[in-house]
Amino acid sequence: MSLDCARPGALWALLLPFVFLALVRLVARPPERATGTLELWQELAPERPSGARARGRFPPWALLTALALLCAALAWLGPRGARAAAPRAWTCVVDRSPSMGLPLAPGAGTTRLAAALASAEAWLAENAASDERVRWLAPERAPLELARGTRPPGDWLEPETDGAEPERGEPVWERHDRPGTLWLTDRAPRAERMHAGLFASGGAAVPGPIAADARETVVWEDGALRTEARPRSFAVLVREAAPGRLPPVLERMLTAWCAARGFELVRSPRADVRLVIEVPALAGSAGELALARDGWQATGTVARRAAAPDPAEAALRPHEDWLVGRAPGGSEHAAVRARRGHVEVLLGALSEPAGDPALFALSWARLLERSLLCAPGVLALEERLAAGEALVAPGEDAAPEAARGRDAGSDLGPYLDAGLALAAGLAVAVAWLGARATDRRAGGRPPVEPWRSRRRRNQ
Amino acid sequence: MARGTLELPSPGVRFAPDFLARVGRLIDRLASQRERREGDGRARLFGVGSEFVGYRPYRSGEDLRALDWNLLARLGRPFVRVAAREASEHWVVWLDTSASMGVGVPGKLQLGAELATALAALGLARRARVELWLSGGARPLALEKRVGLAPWMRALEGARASGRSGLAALLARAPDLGGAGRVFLIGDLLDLEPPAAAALARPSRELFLAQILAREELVPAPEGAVRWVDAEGGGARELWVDDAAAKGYERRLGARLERWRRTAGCVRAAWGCWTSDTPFETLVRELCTRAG
Repeated sequence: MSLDCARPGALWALLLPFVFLALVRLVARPPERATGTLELWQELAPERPSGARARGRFPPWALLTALALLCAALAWLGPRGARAAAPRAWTCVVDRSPSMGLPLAPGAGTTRLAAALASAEAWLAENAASDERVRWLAPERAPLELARGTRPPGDWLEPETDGAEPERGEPVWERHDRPGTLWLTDRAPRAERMHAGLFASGGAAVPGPIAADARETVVWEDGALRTEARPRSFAVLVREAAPGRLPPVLERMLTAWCAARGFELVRSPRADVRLVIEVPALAGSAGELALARDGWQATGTVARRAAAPDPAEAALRPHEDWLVGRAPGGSEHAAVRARRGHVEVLLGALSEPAGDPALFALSWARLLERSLLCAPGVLALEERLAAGEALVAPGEDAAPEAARGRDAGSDLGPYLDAGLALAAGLAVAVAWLGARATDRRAGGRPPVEPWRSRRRRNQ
Repeated sequence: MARGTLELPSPGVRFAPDFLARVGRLIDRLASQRERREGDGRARLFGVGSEFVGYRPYRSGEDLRALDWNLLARLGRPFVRVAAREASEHWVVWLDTSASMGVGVPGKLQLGAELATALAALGLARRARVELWLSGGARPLALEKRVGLAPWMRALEGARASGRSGLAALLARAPDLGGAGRVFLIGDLLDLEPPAAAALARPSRELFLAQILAREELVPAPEGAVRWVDAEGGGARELWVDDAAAKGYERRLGARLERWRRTAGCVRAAWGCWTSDTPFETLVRELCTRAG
């Protein structure tokens, strides 16, 4: 248990009790009392401290007054307990935007992520104790708590590669603006930073593709955009629990969309897959439901997945319900769910849509376009822009709260101050009463009964 | 002694303007009490003249001439006729004026002087001849008429608590007491051994020992370091006075007072101990009420 204080400027007040006792020693010489019974005191002398020893002791009122001064000085100081024994927990929030994977400068061997990590680790090495822990946070990654000096695994740190949606890898900085938190990014976020430290790698602009489809690629270079005719092979993978599980109406629509976009519809994994259509094994049908979206209607059967998805994966990269079936009783069941690069179809059967078939095709095409992964090497233009100079700003209160005693001890601080002030007051009162009692003792105690000896009365 | 001689807190005597009035009221009250009590046949110390006031049991060693033979014949037990003292009774007051009597506030000498004067006034009222002997060596002051009270009080106001001569010094003049019927020793009795004082007692003489101590002498306060200085220049001692020290002191003083009590009892002398801030009326009333 180490101690901190709320008002370090009052440290000098701790000297007051000692100054007071020194003054008492110097000024308050023992009072002289004339007596006719010195002989009795001298008989007592061998049993009692005398001379210098007598002067070396302080009367109770002086000790109590010194105690009161000590309590008052402590109350002024405002002692705060800090649990130094408990290791402080630092937090590093890592930006996994695609830009973090870019080289620090064209041709440089180190990435922006590596530079930001190195900067933060160097600062932690100086400011954090070796036994302290660091909690690592990043979007779509499970939190890690590691010893200081230990870096998370490479795949955990790996920036997002889907350049079409760069914000997906960027933390919501506002949620992590706390003391003891270090933001690791390549440029200062727009979010206002109050407590957290910032370790930005900076970095030069990195020219390259910013958009691509099966036929053309848009390249940003020298501050200008140009289009290159660069045929690419892209695939859409249909992953079925059993062959023929994908409803025929969806199969037809998917085939048409792939043909229009130049994608190949495949049923076995490939390296150039940019979208997975998954039709898992289903269990427990909810019956025939009404399905409607974007102006089309149909009916279909919906069921739950037979095997629950990985909860960690589901928590980190949740799906969005795109199509919901409504039962006659009013209950709703997810029929189609989607996330980036993945569409999950939970339909057992799907009727031909009523109304204009184009509405049905457009609705599904928008879902598929939105879910497509970006082509490898393609990054949004804003990711490729220069990130500026490197920036290290740990902030005044970058240390975790525990390091500055703002734990339970700080909450009790005002009460502790009040208690010490009360103790000082009590000590003064007791000193005063004690001094008065000492003065009164001679006057208040009944003396020896007068006339201990009486002459026998005449009868 | 590095700090030189210590100034005594109350070395002198100063009678309050209303002192004589207080003495007068005290004597009147005592007289009225005596009148109320005479009916019960018990003897009173401060009776007037030679009038018969009652009987009391005979005590071994008493003058057989006082024995009432008629009562002895009728009751088979000896009784002594008690009469008020003769007008010619002789009282002697010894007052300690040594330096130790200047201790206390008010001082021991102040109370001693007030007691001596009140006793003198009482003696005059009882037609006694009162003599005041001061331990400082001054000539005895005799008082036979009330007009002599003023010089008496002036003499006392001129006395100072000083020197080492206390009541022990007056013992050498004990033979001069002659036929004094009552002898009052007023002082702190610290320079006197109880047997020496007891030697003044006679069958025909009543001895009164009024021991006056300062309050801090009787009950010291546990006030920490104190430098105790002998008022008569006998040295000094610095001590830490806490509860234990105060109790140790009181134990020793108590043993000494107990010796006084036992010795006084043996010779049928009256002894008492008061603090110097006790009103003199209290002391006189105790004497009048209690003494045989």
